[in-house]
Amino acid sequence: MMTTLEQTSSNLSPLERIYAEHRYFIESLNGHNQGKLSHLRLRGIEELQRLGIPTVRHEEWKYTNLYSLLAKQFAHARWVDESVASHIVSQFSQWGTVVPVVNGRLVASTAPGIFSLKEVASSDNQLVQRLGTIAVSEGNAIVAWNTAFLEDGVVVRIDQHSPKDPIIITSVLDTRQGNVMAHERHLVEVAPGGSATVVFVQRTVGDGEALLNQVLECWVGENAQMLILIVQDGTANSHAITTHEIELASNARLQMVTVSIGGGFIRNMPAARLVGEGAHAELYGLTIADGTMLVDHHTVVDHRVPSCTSNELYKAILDGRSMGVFNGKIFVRPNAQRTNAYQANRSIVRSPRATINAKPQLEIFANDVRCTHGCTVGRLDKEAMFYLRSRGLSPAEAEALLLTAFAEEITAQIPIESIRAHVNATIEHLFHADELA
Amino acid sequence: MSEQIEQVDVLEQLTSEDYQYKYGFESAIEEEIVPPGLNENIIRLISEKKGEPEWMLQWRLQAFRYWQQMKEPHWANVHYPPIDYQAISYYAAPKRSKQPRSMDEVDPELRRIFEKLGIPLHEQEMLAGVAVDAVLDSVSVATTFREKLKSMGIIFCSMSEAIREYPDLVRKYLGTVVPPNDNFFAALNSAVFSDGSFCYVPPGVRCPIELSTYFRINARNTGQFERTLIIADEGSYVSYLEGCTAPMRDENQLHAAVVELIALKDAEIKYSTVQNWYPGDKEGKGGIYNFVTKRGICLGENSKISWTQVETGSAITWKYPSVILKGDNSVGEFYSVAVTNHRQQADTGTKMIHIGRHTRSRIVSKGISAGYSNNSYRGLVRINPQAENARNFSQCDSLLIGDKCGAHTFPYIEVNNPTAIVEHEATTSKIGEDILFYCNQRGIDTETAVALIINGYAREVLSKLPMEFAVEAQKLLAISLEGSVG
Amino acid sequence: MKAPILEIRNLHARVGDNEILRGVDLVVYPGEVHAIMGPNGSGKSTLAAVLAGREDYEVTDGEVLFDGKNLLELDPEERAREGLFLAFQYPVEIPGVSTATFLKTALNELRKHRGLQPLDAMEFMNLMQQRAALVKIDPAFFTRSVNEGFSGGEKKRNEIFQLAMLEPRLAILDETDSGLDIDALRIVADGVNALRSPDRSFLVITHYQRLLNYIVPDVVHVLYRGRIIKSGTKDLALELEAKGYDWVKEFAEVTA
Repeated sequence: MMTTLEQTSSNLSPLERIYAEHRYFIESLNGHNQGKLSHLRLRGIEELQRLGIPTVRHEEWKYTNLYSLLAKQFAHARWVDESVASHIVSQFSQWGTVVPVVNGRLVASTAPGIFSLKEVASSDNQLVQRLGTIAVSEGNAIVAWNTAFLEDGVVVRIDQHSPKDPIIITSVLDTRQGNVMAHERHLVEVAPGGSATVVFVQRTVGDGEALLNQVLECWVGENAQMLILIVQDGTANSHAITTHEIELASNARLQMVTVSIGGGFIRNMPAARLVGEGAHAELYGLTIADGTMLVDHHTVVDHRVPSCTSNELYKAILDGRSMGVFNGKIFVRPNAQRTNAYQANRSIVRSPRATINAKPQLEIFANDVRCTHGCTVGRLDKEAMFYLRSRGLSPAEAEALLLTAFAEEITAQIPIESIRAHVNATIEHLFHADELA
Repeated sequence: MSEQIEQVDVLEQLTSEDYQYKYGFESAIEEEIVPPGLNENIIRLISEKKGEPEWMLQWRLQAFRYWQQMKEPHWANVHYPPIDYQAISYYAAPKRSKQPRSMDEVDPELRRIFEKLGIPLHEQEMLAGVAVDAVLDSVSVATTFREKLKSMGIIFCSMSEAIREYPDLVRKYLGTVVPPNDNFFAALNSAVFSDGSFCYVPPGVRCPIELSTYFRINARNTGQFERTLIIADEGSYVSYLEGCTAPMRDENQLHAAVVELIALKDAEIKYSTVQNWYPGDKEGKGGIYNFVTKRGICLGENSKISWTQVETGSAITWKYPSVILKGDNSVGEFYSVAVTNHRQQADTGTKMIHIGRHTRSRIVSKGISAGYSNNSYRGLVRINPQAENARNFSQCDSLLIGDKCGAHTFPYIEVNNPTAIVEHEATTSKIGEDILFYCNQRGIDTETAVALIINGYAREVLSKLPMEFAVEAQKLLAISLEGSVG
Repeated sequence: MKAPILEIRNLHARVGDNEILRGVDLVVYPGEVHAIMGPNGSGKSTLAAVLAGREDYEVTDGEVLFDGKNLLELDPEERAREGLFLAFQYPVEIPGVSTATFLKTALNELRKHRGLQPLDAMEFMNLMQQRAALVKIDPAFFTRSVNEGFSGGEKKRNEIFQLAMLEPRLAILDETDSGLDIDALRIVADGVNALRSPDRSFLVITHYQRLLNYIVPDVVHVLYRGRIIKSGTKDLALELEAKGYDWVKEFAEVTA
């Protein structure tokens, strides 16, 4: 039982604790630690050992203190009670094909074409060829950590004949036996000309604290289209560190919308790498935070070849003692001529104790480019407030209306009606609750 | 109108000149140089040579102890081989028997050096309205116009002199803006600084002329560590200019200066720099390592500090002239043009720290990269929780000339107050082929066209410089970029 | 008769694989105004660009003599200094560079080429004021950045002002009338007419006859599919206006 570790490890440092859990984890594989996965796991733990858990002295974690989160002493989740998934599945079934992942393990899925990493990896299936090649452990402590505990996740390959239903990857973290941490590793490949939609949601069961370390590796083939929606609307005990790395071949398109409107500690690290000419990526993000919520978006748009375009818009509304972080990197590599990249970040701080830290960042090594970023922090337009009040709205109503409009610029990018409606309703509730208070 | 015409004249002169760093000569004056290396004895020696009081020596020694515990920072986007701090000589001074009492006592050889640089030290030859403090290697060799200024209560002298003559003022303000343990290079400077300029403008006085310091590194294997302190007392105004050059040498030389500005209530300080240290040759050999800490504090309400810089020189630039906006309604400004060519690397920008209420800051940065160079803007805008109604506007543009160079933008925006309005915009682009063709079609060759376009691009910053400097700066921009298009 | 200022013989030019000029022949004498008309895509603007030396166009055959010199081997700025001026269809904006600075740079380059002393600030100012009056342009233009924030009409007028300042031997007006209302058109045309002289020639490229009511040409050419298929007096422009381009297309097909 893992509870023995729980009892003995309370005075260990986070890193020592991870090593101890890693030893238990490898032992628990009962000799099944062979082949591709075992090799990756070894590299993962070695790299984590080399890098350590990043501190606030680390430039990429300057504003986000991972140690304060790890003080909650999450145990690597080893127990899986599949029955907890059923009522959660029903919540999302109207959105598409729900694939529940409980404490990091894929619950047997009946959907065709959707595989468990655990199953396909052992057979060295063609499907897992790209595993560890898009999200690599080298130099990335979070991916290394995830890879050290590599075990399961969703593997999907989509071609022109695949069903068009969105795939709803539903992470369920069960805390009924204590604070848990789960590592998920997903692999999505969209064949040339294909079109896929993947939605990520997260739910916590029980009153404990739950930390998800989710890594997605995604390859979008020539002329293929990929839509990724991340809906983070959990309770304050739901924490997540997500690494979604996507590579785009020639003329591929990516649209990614991240909505972070609930949860505790959230750190998202999406990376779009444009590796084929004519590829296009669009990244949108919305943060609405209150209480002590932390939402940190570290985005990368990497123009590696000529003639690609990208567009990025992240918005935040911060209240209470919440903190928003935005670091948006745009790289234009040598020879990536005729790049057109745009990035904007707009934030509203509503409370004297809320904070926004923004760092838009351009690194350009080609000259025939057009790159622009804009970043603003401000409050609601006084003119607009006055206009609405002169039409009879109360200040609270006027504010809620304007904040909703501010948020809707992002939610309007969600092309799936049922999901957009859910998100908009949640946002309206947030501002309405605010109005009542 | 006449200003613009002037601009063209300058460009005309330029196009006929071949690229050369015209300040690259070496002067054979006799200098006194302490042996290389850094330890307490060297610091005692420097302090003794300058006849400093005990408190100053102790201040230096404390800084040295901080420095010993600090590590050289490497977060900036610049790359260079390790610096051997024990191989540098920390004090070099032209030999002379005593401090000159008047201009006529200045060594004629020294005077010739500055004349060659276009900085005449004879007061009667001075351009109207500029008082100069000339610093050669470690020491100030001459300060002009001081008597005239003194009659208004303005103190403008070398730092060494200020320590001896105005110890109370120096003790009160030295290190209050850039503490000795602020950073590695500031600590080093605090321990070994040799000279620099000191300026105090009394309450209500508007300094009628531009004050200027001209820095020159001459001796081999030495570093230059000057320290400048400017205090503008209540309701006063001063405009200060800084220029710098160095001989062409194959080895790198270190320049680690500290500049502190203090603006009291209703005071204004305008600090302009045209930085033209030797940048190294086309292959990146030689050149100055320029690691400078410049910071001002708007201590009193309604005060204003404005930094304007034109950076064309140095092999490596690491420099962030900053403003701490402490007084309510205070204003901070930063206007910068940074050009890098060949193998130069620049990581420069500013910090605007808003503490007081209704504080405003404005940042305009224009980076130009050419050749194999890398040019980074790094800036911080911080709105502290108590800074009600703070405003910032930043515009950071980068221009790339050629496809082997890099342009990078690292703005940090930290907002802790809901009433703040912060706007940041950045663009990166190249000189459009269509603009070049348009100029060509009017008979303007490509090189002249680039100079014209660059001056247009940098106009907002250049227009903030005093006239004399603006013309000089335009010239420099064009020279720095010669040969980069073709 | 004087020697021609411009002689174009069998000029072929292309962009990429697309051949746009397919054997243009044209001779212009000093003092003449030639109009080049033609439907969209006939190669009018390409002809202007090739004459001015824009790099995107490749000349594959033929020759162009400018005042007896081989024009095609000159760089764009050398062509300008020899006295060839192009009034752009889409004048570019040059941020931060005032019109005065720009023109003084250009004018002194031209003067240097002609072995003349550069103008000093005073002489230049006087010249600008005089020429501004000639083409009825507001001196406020001088200090504004070249074309930045100008309306379409202002940009075209600025082109004519530059023409007046630089005094070329051959001015090519590339669809200078496009996007102008009738008042602006008249101002531009008056400017051009004021600049007509026995030593200066014009090549007026236009889609519409309208401009030619104000700038009366000596010769009108019809360019179609990269060739001049018909030339005539100013009446040809009126005929074209009345019958439309289909008329010449038919003509072209008959003679092809």
